[in-house]
This record gives sequence, structure tokens and C-alpha cells, in this order.
Amino acid sequence: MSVGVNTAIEVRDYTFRYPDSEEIVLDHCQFTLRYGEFVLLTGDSGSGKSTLIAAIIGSLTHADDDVQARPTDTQAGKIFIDGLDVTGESVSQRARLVSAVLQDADSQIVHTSVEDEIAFGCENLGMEPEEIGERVGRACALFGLERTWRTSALSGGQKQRLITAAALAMDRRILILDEPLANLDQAGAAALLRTLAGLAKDGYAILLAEHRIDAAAPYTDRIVRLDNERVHDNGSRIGVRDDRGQVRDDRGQARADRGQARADNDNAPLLSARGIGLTLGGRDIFRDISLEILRGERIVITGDNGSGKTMLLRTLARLQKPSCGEIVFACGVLRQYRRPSPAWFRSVGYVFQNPNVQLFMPSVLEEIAYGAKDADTARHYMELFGLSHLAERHPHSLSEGQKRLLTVAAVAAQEPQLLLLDEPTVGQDHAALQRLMDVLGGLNRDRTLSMIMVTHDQRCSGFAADQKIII
Amino acid sequence: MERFYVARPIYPPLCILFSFVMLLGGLLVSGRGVFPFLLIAMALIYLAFGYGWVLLKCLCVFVPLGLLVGFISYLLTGQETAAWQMAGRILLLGLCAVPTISMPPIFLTRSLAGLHCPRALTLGMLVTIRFFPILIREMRHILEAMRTRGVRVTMNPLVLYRAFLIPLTMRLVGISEILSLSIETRAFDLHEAEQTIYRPVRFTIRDGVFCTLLIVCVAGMIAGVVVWK
Repeated sequence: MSVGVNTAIEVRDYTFRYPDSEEIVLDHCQFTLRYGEFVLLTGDSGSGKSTLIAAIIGSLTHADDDVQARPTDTQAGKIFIDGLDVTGESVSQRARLVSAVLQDADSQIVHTSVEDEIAFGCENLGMEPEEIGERVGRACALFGLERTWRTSALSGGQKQRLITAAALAMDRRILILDEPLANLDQAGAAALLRTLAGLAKDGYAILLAEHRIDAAAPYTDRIVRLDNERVHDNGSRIGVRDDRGQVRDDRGQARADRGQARADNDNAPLLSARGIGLTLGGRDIFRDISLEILRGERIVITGDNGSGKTMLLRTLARLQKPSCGEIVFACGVLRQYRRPSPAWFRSVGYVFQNPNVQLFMPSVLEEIAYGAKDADTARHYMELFGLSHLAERHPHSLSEGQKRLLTVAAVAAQEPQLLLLDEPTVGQDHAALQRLMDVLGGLNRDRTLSMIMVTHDQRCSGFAADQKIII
Repeated sequence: MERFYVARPIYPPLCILFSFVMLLGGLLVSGRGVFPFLLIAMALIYLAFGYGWVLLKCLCVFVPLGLLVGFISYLLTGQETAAWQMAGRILLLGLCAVPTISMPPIFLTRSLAGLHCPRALTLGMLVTIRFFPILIREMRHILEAMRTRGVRVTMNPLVLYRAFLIPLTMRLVGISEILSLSIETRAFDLHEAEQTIYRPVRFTIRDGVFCTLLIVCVAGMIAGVVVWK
């Protein structure tokens, strides 16, 4: 059976399971991507999107001493790239045909400057220095990056832009992107999607795996859904619209609660920041920000990549000392020179952007139970967040989306008065996101838990925020 | 380390040679009268080649450290000369480190690539150098994260293992795995001969002047040893 001339990628009857596991991750997958097409690959968390991408770029195969990849007994079927059977080809050999943007941009950066990072792939492809310079310039302009910026000083969103820019600069005719919108602001995401759509019009083949269907779908030609280990490719966008909506809004209830909260608390804010600013290395990260939050209030903080959202949240959590201004918490001005105690973090829960650093116990149940007042409370929160079926699993064996949910559950189980969440929605499919927002909304109503959430996720714009702060 | 980088570093292999020769030569003459002049000559060369700021930062660390070690030496031996010599050796160590710590790793790897060193070596070196700041950053993040979970990381082996070593190991393994995959997906291949260098690092006239001063310093050391014999 031959592969069409216009076919960029063909996955033919591909099956995969991980070694030492009986669970089939991909079951007889059939999938075709043609040149000139922009295809959105979607599916629930853990449905196998990243595994399918890994199979295409070759990272599922085992390499022997000669750096030649070979198929294993855990997989079957064929993958063709640009008409070539790539069975036995290594990742770097396949990278000469396909550019790939992987998840976790932070861990992928090799060089210390933006310019060198973008140039790296071009150097490996043997491009002339003048051409590399032009490509670096174009990529920087497209993604709002400066050549001379230090990679260590970039925010999470800027790192995501950098890794995407580096892949685009390689200018392969086939592009695969795994959740590239995860940390991008609205403008950055729109710019990337417009660029990808433009490339598809120019004859490039684009495969985008993404949970943010609402943002991506308008730009794509076709949506492919991975479900129950199989690919459902109906050749159009019809049939997946149920996934495209935003999370449900409970704004009316929240506003009523807020009015009640204000009355109950006699207008005394739980936390009040007055004119706070932060300067690091001579650069203003943010300045002159004032906000206050009452018991039971919800605040959403948004802003462009690199605008200082995470640093603001860290400052409010006392993980970072502000350069100016003051923060008042419930019963007095915080003494800036004192380190926050464990008791402080029982009152102010903080969920990190990267869940991997906050998990340390041997099972999901013990992770939640660590900060909970008793075992029943731990079980209650585990059920609330829909993690009961993972109770005995090691936290580090979970998917990134599940880990993020677990850190929110573990911190919420400490029953703080104020919960600070840094990008909690990354990696969550629509159902998981809806559940997360429902649970947080429930905690907010039932326990008058105050929340400040940093997010780029437009799907959460319906999350009933009493205040929306844009920095 | 990035705060030490200079805009125009000296040709990297020359920096390494300079540091090595001056350290070896300096230790050999550290008991002689020429030694203070050698230290002054090194400082002047650094100032002339734009390393003044890095020199100042190094002196801020190595002068107090040298004085401390010298004082300990004095307490142990009771000899003032030996104490000054020990302080001078520590200062020499700091001065020899100036050109190497102020060199962005990419300069070193590109210059070695230009000398046809294997890419496995140059890229391995680059990733290794980059890994130290990543390690420090991850350690800091984990300690912070544990504080937010109400864990006080102490030297108690159980706490240290559970709340620090496990998250750190998992994180480092994850970073290593993703980093190596990222390098491969960007077409890095050990056996491919067609790679180019975006900004080749070449030996310039400025490097030649630096090299000449190195030779003058070595000649001065030899002459000094002969004169102060």
C-alpha cells in the first residue's frame, strides 16, 4: 500500500503499550495529515495525544548503541513521514523532516541567550550563518522576543514562545506542537495560531495537540479526537463543539455571596496590598499595585507573558519581599523582614505553577493527608477533586494534569483562609477543568475560602471572579 | 554565573591556558619576592581587557577568604611570612578564575567546535555547565515549595530524603529526559557532519595582544626567580 504524494504524516494501524504494562495506550490508530492542512488533535487528559506525538517524532522507540532506533514488541504498525517509512529512524533523523514543540518549555532550554537558543536547531541543520541570522530575527519579531535576552530571566510564557520560535526557525515543512498555548497569553496564542494557519496556507502540514479547543478551533481545518485509545477523525469540525465551550459560570451566586461576605466582615479585608512594587536586577517586574480581598472573594489576575503575574502572587504569599509598598493580612502589617512560618502557609495556601516541586509523599492519599487535619478530611478532599481512583498511585507517576489537580487538592486540604493558585488549569481537559472550577466554586461558597488565581486560560473567564486584575 | 559574563571575552582556549599557566607559575613563585608583582600584573591585564567588574567581584570574595586562610595559617605555624604567602595563594586562585568564570559557555563550545572537537564533547560540556544553575534553581524551588506545604526541611535524614531528595531527583531526571529529547528534536546528531556555527569564535589581534602579555608575564616570572634567587 503506497502513501499519497500530498501526505505529510500517515499513521497506519499503529498500536502501542508501555513496557511492563498491559494497558494499551494507542489501539490500531489510523491517522493522516496532508500538506496544506492545519489539524487540531484533541482528547481527554491521558487519552494518548502526547504518546501519538512521541510515536511520530520517534521518542517511543528504543535506541541501541549505534543510535539506531528500533521497534519493540510493545508497538506495532507503521508511521510514514513525507512518504518515507520511518521505522528504525532516530529522533534526530526524523527531526530533519519534522519540527516538534514539546511540553514543559522550561526544561528544554539549552543556551543562555535567546539568539543562541533559536539558532541551535538551524546550526544542526547546517544552515549558513547569514541565513540563521535572518531566521533568528524573524522568529524574534514574530514572538516578541529580544535576541539578547537571557533565557534564565524569561517568564514561563516567554520560555514557551522561545521554544516555539526555535522550532519554527528550523523551517521544516511538517510541524507538530504539543500544548504550545499552555502558558501563552491571549495575544501570544492568537499570534501563534494565525502564524500556523498562514503556514498551512503556504503548504505546510501542522498538527496541534491542545486542550484549549475554543482558542485553536477557529484557525484549524480539521479536528481529530483521541478517545478510548482510538482516533476519531470525522474530517470536519462538526461533532466536537460540545468541548469548545467555556466553563459554567456561577457569577450571580458569587456576587450575592460577596455582598453577604462584605456585610458579615464589616468591610475588613483579609489581605490588603498597598502600592506594592518589585524590582529585580534593576528591572521593574511590577509596580504600584494595590488590591484587597475580602473573606470569600475571588480575584483573577491576567496579563501578558512576562508582566509579573507569578511574582505578584509570590509577593502576596511572602515568598518574595516587595521592593516598596506594604501588605496587611487580617490583623496587622506583615513584618517584611521575617520569614513566613509554616503556620502562615496554613492560612495562605500556595499552589505552584510547576506541580512537581510540591509533591513528596509516596501516595496520592498520603499527599493530601499530609496537610489535612485528619484522615476523613483527606478522603473528603480526594473525593471532591475526583482523585479517589488514584489513591494508591505514586504522585510522580501521574500525568501533568493530574499532578496539578493533586497539588490543588493537597493545598486545599490544609483548609487555608486564602488560596493562591498559579496557572492551575494548564493540562486540564474540559471535563477536568469544569470539575476543578466547580470544586473551587464550592469551597468558595461553603467555606468562604478566598482565592487569587493567575491564569491565561480564556476558558476560565466565566469563573466567577469578583475582581479581574490585568497587569 | 551569568552575572560574571563579559561582553568581549578572550579566545576561550587561551583563557584556559592563561589560567592554567598563571596558577602553576604563581604557585611555583609564591614563596619569592616576585609574587606580589605577578598578582599586580594579572590585575592590570584584566583591567586593560575589560574584566574590571569581574575582578572587583572576585576580589570581594577572595581577599577576605585569603586573609582568613592566612590567619589560620598564622595560628598554626606562627610564621607571618607563611601566612601572607598562603593569603597570596588564595588570591592567586581567585585571579586565575577571572577569565574562565566570565566566559559564556557558548563561546567555549563554539571555539572548540571551530577547532573540530567532537560535538558530543562540546554539547556535553555546554549542558553540564548549564546544569549547575538549573540544579541550584530547582533546589531553591523545592525548599520554597516544601515551606508552603508546611514542611521544614532539616538535616533529619528521613525528612531530607522524603521532602528534598525525592522531589529533587524526580525533577532532575525529568529535566534530563526532556532536555535530551529537546536536543534530538532539534536535529542534533553525533554522526552528522554538516552542522554549522552561527557565530564562529576566532582568534583575533586582541587575543594576540593578550597572548603576548601572557608570555611577558611568564618571562617576568622566570626573570624574577633568577633575580630574587
